[in-house]
Amino acid sequence: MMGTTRALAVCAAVCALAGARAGAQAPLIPRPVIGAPKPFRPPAIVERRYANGMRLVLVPFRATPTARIELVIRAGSADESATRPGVAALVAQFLSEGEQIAQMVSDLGALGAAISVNTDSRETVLAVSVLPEAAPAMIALLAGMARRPAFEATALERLKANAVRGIQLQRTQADWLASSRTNSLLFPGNAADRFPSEEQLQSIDAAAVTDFHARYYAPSRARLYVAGTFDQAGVERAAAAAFADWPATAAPPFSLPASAELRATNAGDRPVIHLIDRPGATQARVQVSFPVVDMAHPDHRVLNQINMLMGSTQTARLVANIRERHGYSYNIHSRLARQPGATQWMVAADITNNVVGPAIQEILGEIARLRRDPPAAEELRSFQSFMAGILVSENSTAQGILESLRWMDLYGVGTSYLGTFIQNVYTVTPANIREMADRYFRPDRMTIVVVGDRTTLLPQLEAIARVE
Amino acid sequence: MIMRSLFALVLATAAPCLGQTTPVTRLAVSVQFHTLSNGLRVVLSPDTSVPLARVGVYYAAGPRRETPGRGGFAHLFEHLMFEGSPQLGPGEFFTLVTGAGGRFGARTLYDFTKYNVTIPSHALELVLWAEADRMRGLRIDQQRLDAVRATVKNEVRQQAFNRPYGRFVWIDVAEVAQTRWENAHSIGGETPDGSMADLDSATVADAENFYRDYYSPANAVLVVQGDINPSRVLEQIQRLFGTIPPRPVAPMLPIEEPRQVAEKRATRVDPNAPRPAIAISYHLPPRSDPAFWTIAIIDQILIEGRDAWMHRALVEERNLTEAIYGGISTRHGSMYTVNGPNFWSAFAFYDKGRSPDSILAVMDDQIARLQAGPVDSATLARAITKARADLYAELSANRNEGIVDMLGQLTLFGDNPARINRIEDEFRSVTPERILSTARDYLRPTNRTVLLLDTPEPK
Repeated sequence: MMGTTRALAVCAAVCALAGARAGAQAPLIPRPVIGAPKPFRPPAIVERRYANGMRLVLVPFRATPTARIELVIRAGSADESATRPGVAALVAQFLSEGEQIAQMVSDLGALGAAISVNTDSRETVLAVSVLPEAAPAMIALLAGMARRPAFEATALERLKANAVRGIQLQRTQADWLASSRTNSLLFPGNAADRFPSEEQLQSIDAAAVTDFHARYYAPSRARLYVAGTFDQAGVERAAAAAFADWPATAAPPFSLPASAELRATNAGDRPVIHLIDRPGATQARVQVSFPVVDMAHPDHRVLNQINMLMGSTQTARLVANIRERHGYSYNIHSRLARQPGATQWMVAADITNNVVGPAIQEILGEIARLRRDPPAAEELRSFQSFMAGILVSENSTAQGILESLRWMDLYGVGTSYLGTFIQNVYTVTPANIREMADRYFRPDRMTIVVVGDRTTLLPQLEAIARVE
Repeated sequence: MIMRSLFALVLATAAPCLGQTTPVTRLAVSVQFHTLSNGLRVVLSPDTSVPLARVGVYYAAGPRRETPGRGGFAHLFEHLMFEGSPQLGPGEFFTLVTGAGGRFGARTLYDFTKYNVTIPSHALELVLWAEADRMRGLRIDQQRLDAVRATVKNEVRQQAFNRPYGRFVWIDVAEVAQTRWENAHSIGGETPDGSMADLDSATVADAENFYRDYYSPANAVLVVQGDINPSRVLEQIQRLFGTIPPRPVAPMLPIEEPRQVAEKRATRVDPNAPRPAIAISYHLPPRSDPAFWTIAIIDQILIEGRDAWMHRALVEERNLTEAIYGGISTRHGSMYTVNGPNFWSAFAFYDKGRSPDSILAVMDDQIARLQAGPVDSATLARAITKARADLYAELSANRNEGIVDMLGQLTLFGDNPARINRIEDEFRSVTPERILSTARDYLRPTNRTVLLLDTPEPK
């Protein structure tokens, strides 16, 4: 209200003079010409390795006012035995349990507010942003969580119940239904996509939890990253005190699988749509996917650009077509979904029921065009400038820097990657793009999953594909 | 180059648990504030730690400015702002920003609509030029309005209706608890039955009128932050924005809510929800009232973190739910993003078959503890630290765009961007006595709405 009153007063004074006419008559100012970007210098990294094999990575970086701390344990769903899916995530949930941890969290006040614990196929990550002065105490707390969790029997039932609730919620969500079906079609049997049933979760006992922890939570599989603003000497002391005496164990060595075999999933002569019924849904979730090679493969650099050009920014072809031109979907996008040994390029959208068929046809048309015609040099150049620019912004915060460092570590990509990224972006040509699209986006590897109201969608889908 | 960063370490009395000599962080954001002759307010904040510049343009044009029959228009208009201006055609803003290596975003909140760009700093002038061009004039035709409308309706469907808990708390509490249409209707413009008739009936003339009435320099704030030379940027702004002729701003209708005198209760059925949920929402004091900041501390004591009272009582001691959620302006923005009538809420999901009153009773017990007597100093100190940590998280959000938003909001809401460096003091000034009186004044049942969310009947 205050702003409005003041704004009116200003206008009473100046609008009278200007006659309060809209801006059309004012002279237009020509578009400025901009110069060259400043060079991007990745921040310096300090690395330590303790005798037990654990690594410490420090990135002093004052652009972020807090310290970002991420403790990575290389233990994930891929380490589970096939009969015990869900145990990796359950162990991770246990890390925040127990009287001692609760007391530490409580004593440290703010520190407990935002520790996130996430488990994927290869890693469990404890991540938190803290006020700089609290970084050493936070490191001690994370060490206590990872090294000495209290596996209390009373907590086990509660955590399993929570996990079951999580599964129930997931299964009401169209995007999860679409991606889990897609994964099972593209990468059958892949460890990353084993979703436990409720019965499997309920059958996990205390021994399974403690065994998994004892086997995989080991210094050789642990890395501590600290980025942002912090007192470096204090953090190094705290990290050494917290982790250097962690006894080395004979944990199974960590390794990544090879890229998935890129196999055909259909005959390729006519698209196949896998339809999951969600009665009464007002939109359909559509996911179109192709298996591709993993991050560390040289082709990935070009696939990254294809992804940008097709659906990872507002000017991308699929967004310009499906969203801006037709208004079929608000959230159409593409991305490279990265899982070691199971990477895919995917297009996903929530689409209004009555235009699902035409929207899928437009998506397929854009993919076919990319395989047929190289992009115009000017179009490609614009996306390359975008990628060069966002490299800077994505690495402009402590959290962003750690995201980069962590996947580079995981895939063993050399540390020169960031520093040479921008010059490498501009070496990709329109012909490279077409060739790579042709190599990876073959019709016989295309998997289409639709989640929506079957009765409404079936006639539209059958007009363009075989529906399963 | 002198490295300047957005905050400084200052030696101060540390929290007792961290030892006597720990340096404590304090914000020290560099802020320059100018008002141009056409009324545009300009905030400049240099920080050369990375070669990026951030631009935020904030128009005091949110859903509270809408008129009945045109619910959701401010948000629809947010999308129309990318459809054309005197020198930019539909979508050209996107190309211009991304082609220069930048990213952009826009968002409609209750009291304003914001447009953000982050770009390598060498391209800043180009972004300022584009933002000035669309503050200078609007170009929109029927065909583009129709395409944008279809996209926006998809957005509303996706967020409100095609996922579980899509409208829970942030939309349906306002519908029940607010008495004025301006405050009660959905930002998306949809009604609980799924109708989007207001969006369907919006016209090109509506867009032209909304732009004329609310998208004028005097109703806007421009924030430029990052790797900038303030005097050079101010010169550019004078040339690009200062030459936009002033336009009058339409007066705002009153939006104050009357004092609530009886508890409200409502039940909503969510066809997508796997489990029921309960929310309690209390009307808040205005931001200018110290009680507003006291409630932010109360929120920390009751809800945020593992040491929070409701978390301990509901989750750890009684296992009635897996988590307790809530806060000021929960599920849409934060305590810093809203100026008009607003809520503090607490909510939880629970298993079918359980009674919501069993959860409500435990929530009420915790509130009663606050109302019985002053909290101890350790509890207060922890809550203040958590509130500061949340503030820093807010400033770092969206790759540090949070700091730009904070400067924009403080200017829109009170013409005082420099206040960013004193927010921590608001938290530090809260006392046990203030918590006691605020809990008694505001966390009374007659000031609240109890909202139950039910799952659909099995078919």
